[in-house]
This record gives sequence, structure tokens and C-alpha cells, in this order.
Amino acid sequence: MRARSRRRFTPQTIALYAIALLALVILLGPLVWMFGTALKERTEVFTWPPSIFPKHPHWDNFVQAWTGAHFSRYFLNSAIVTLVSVASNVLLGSMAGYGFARLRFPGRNFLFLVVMVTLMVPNAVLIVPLFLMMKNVPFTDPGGWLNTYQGVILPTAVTGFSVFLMRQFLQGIPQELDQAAAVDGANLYQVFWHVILPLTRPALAIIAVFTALSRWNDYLWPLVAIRDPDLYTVQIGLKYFVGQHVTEWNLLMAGAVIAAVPMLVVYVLFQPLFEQSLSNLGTGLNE
Amino acid sequence: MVGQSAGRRALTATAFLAPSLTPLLLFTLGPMAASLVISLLRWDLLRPPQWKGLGNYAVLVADPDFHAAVGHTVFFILGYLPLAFIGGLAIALALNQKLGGLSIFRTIYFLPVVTSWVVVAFMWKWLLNPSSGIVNYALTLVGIHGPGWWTDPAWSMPSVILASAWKDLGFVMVILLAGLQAIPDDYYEAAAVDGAGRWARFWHITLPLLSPASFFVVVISLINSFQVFDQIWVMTGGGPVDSTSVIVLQIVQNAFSYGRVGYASAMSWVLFAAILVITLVQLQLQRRWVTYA
Repeated sequence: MRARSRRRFTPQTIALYAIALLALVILLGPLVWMFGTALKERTEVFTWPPSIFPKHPHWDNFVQAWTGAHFSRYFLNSAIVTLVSVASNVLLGSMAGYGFARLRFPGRNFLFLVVMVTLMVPNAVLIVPLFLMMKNVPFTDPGGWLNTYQGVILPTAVTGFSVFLMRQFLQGIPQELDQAAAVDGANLYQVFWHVILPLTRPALAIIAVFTALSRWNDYLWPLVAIRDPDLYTVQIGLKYFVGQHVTEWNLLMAGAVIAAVPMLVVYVLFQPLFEQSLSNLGTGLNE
Repeated sequence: MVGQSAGRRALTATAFLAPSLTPLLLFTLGPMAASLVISLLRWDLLRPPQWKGLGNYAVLVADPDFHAAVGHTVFFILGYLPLAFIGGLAIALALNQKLGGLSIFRTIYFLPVVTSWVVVAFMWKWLLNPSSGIVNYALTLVGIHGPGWWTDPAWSMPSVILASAWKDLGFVMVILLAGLQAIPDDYYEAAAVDGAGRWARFWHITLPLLSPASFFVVVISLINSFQVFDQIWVMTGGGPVDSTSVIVLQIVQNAFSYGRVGYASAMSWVLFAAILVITLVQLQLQRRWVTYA
């Protein structure tokens, strides 16, 4: 105890607190400024010197952003794309991860290498052919699956990342557990459903959280695949507030806050999971 | 499971793998192959495509716009990577001291990481607004007349760099902090006994033993920053006067605005090749500077 209190006043400790506080101002400040602007009146936005929070907060800016810009519709679209992607990545990714980690079959290593290749391709390589493919899906209206939910969702319905993560996780779990169940007469599907899935809940959660984050925040592919404003995701729809000549900064910031909130909530709920999985990535690379 | 025939085993494997491998084949590997073929065509999507062989690549090599895009991308990386790395390292070092009351700080530092590029870009565009933004106001307080930021070709890329580093500081911090926490205390105690000072310990223990985590950060950041697009598209659209026109931006414009689908695909393969080569070179070089405990 004495050692601790003595340490607290060293110049080094003070310097470290100063760094931590400076970082807090730098990293939190812009978010506060965004939120403050979202509460301002249209003209108040441009007053000089600027204030961080307005004297009279205009909470109705959020209502205006939500209804005026069809933001509720964009929000729904993003939610549908995100939830379907999470479900399909968790289910399909875990099945394939299980297959690679536990089943023995010819060509396993080659197929896993193929999965790894899909992890490395830049999106920029894929958008042109995916656009052409979705535009020309046979037996559909002109325009194919562009401007549809399936057009947005399918390219990332299952990612190599989800498969890879599940496989890595299962390799860290002793096989005896699932073999014991198999000896008891369970078939592979029962083992997968009743033994593997409950055992791998942390991995499933990581897949779910990372899928949610990357789909909700996704920009490039929805930008290419969607022209119809009824199908805009929130990230695409934000541009509604940017006019040809005038940008309504207060409403734009209100919209941006609405767009950011769902993932901030997901993060706060799953924080330990985030940090643990990222830490494992950083320190586990040498294995 | 025991004593299953080879045929049955293959069937089971198919049941588990096909639902994933089919979409990966259709929506990643197939398009990859298609993109390589398209890069050999002259195609505007209106008229039938013409075979061009390696013509697109030949044009690319001599195209001043593409050279500029490469230059802008490299400018971005040279600004963004050191800023994000040194900033993230400073925060990680501060948090690693187990000072009281800092766990809430850590939560807050990570908030920008989970915010989308689009939101971050709009937010920074407003922060860096030349006439009404809070950054230029803060600069006037210390007697500096702030620049035009994203409206000024000389300051547009620095604006993008600032916004990007801001978003990724938390990511770098989390990875490096995990690396710092993996360094055993004994090393520091032993060094202190041998009379090593604070700086000596930082240079000879912390930095070398942090190198695996640093390596990871550098590899991932480079892969991502070669593909920088979202924040630039939102903040500047590539301008003013093309000062932020990066590689992926030109791919998108060539493919979807200028009707040069083959050329855009060739560009995307050059980008892919560059990322692969740089990642492989780093894997080779890691033996020189990465120390595994």
C-alpha cells in the first residue's frame, strides 16, 4: 500500500496520466462535438465562436433526421442486411469450421487453402464482377439482383473469416469431448448441434459481433449494388443531408449519431469479447 | 463415425462444407477469376467486349493519373501509419501502468473503432470545416490562422490522414497493449538489477518484445491502407483537383463512371499484386526485426 501511494506522485505517473487524458480529449472530443452539433438549431451551427453544446438543445433534430430523410427506412434496411448476414455467417461458418477441424476427407488441406485465399482478396477486385453478376442474374427483371436485399447480402453471406475463426477455435478444443458423444451413439449432426455449438459459444459470439460490425458499417459494396433510395443502408443514406449547395450539418450529425449508436451499443455489451479476440490476434500470431 | 466408409465420409464432409464453399466459390473465387479475364478486355458494358490482352496493363504503366493515384495512396500511408502507430503505442504504454481508474478510458478509446468510416468522415469534415469548424477555432486561440483543410489541395490529404488515424488509434492500442502485457515482469526486474535505466529498458526490452504485436499492426494496417476508400469518398470525393484521388477511388470511377471496366479491373489486380508482394516482403523481413520471446 505504501509503495503504491508513493508511486502515484512520481513525475512518470503524472506524465502517463497526462497522456491518457490527452488521448481522452482527442478521441472523445470529436464525438462530443458531433453530438453537440446534432442538438443545435440550423443557424446556431455556424455561430462564431462556436459552442460545444447549444443553450437550448433541439432534441427534435433526431426526430427530423429519423423521419424527414426516410432514415427509418435506411435503418430497417441496414438491420435486415446485418441480421441475415449474422445468422448465415454463424450457421454456415460454424458448420464449415467444424468440417475443417474435425472431419477427415480427401482434399481438406487444399480446400482450406482456398478459404484462406478468399480472405486476402481486396474488395476492389470483386466489385466489378459482382456488379455484373448481380445485374445479370437469369430469370429476373432487368437489373437482376441489384437493388435487392439478396444482392447486398449474398456476397458476404459467409466469409472466409467466419470459417477460419471457427476452425481455429475448434482446434484448440480437445477432440475427446465430441468423440465421447459419438461413442454414445450420437451421429455427426447431433454431435455438431448438441456438443460443438454449445462448446464454441465464444467463437460464435465473435463471428456474430464481427459480422454485425462489418455489415452495418459496410460502404463500398452497398454503394455499388444499390441505387434505389428505398434500399439505401444507413451508411449510404447519410448523404441525403448533404445538399448540392447547403449541408444541414445539425441534421447530418443527428443522422450520424443514429447510424453510430447500434454498433456502439453492441461494442459496450460485448466489450470483453472484442478486446480478448483482438489481443489473441496480436499475440497469437507467432504460433 | 468409427469405421465409416470413404464414400460416407466424403458425403458428410460435403454436407458440412458445401453450404459455405458454394457461396465462397460463387461470390469470391469466381469473381476473382472473372476479374482477371475482364482485365484483359476493352469493355464499356454497352458494346460487346474486345480482347485487349495485356493492353490495359501497358496503358496503366504509362498513365499519369494512375501514377498520381499511387502517389496519393503512398502519401496517405506515410502519414497515417506512423501517426496511428506512435499514437496507439503512447496510449498503450500509459494504460499498461495499471494506474487507477483507467479501464473506462480504454472503453472510450475504442469507440471510434466501432464507428463506421462514413460517420467518421462526415464528423471530421465538420470538425475541419474551414470557416465554422472547432479545429480552426481552437487554432485561432493560439494565434494560428487554420488552413482550408479538405477544401485546400495542400491540406486535403492531411485531413483524411487525421480522420483515419483518429479512428484506428484504439485498434492499435488494444493490440499493442496485449503485446505489452505479455512481457514478463521478471525481464524488467532483472534489467533494473543490472542497472538499466528507464530508456534502456524501453529500447532493449519493451520495443523488441513488443515486435510481434507491432508486426501484426503494421501488416494489417498496410493491407487496409492500400485499399483506403470510404473516408476519402465521403470527405473529398478524390478532390480538390484530384489531390486525394487514391487507387480504389480510381477503380470505382473507371468502372462505374467512365465505362472502363477492363481498365478498372487491371488496376485492381495491380493493387492486389502490390498488397501481396508487400505482405510477403514483410513476412521475409520479420526475421530481421521481430523477436519472439
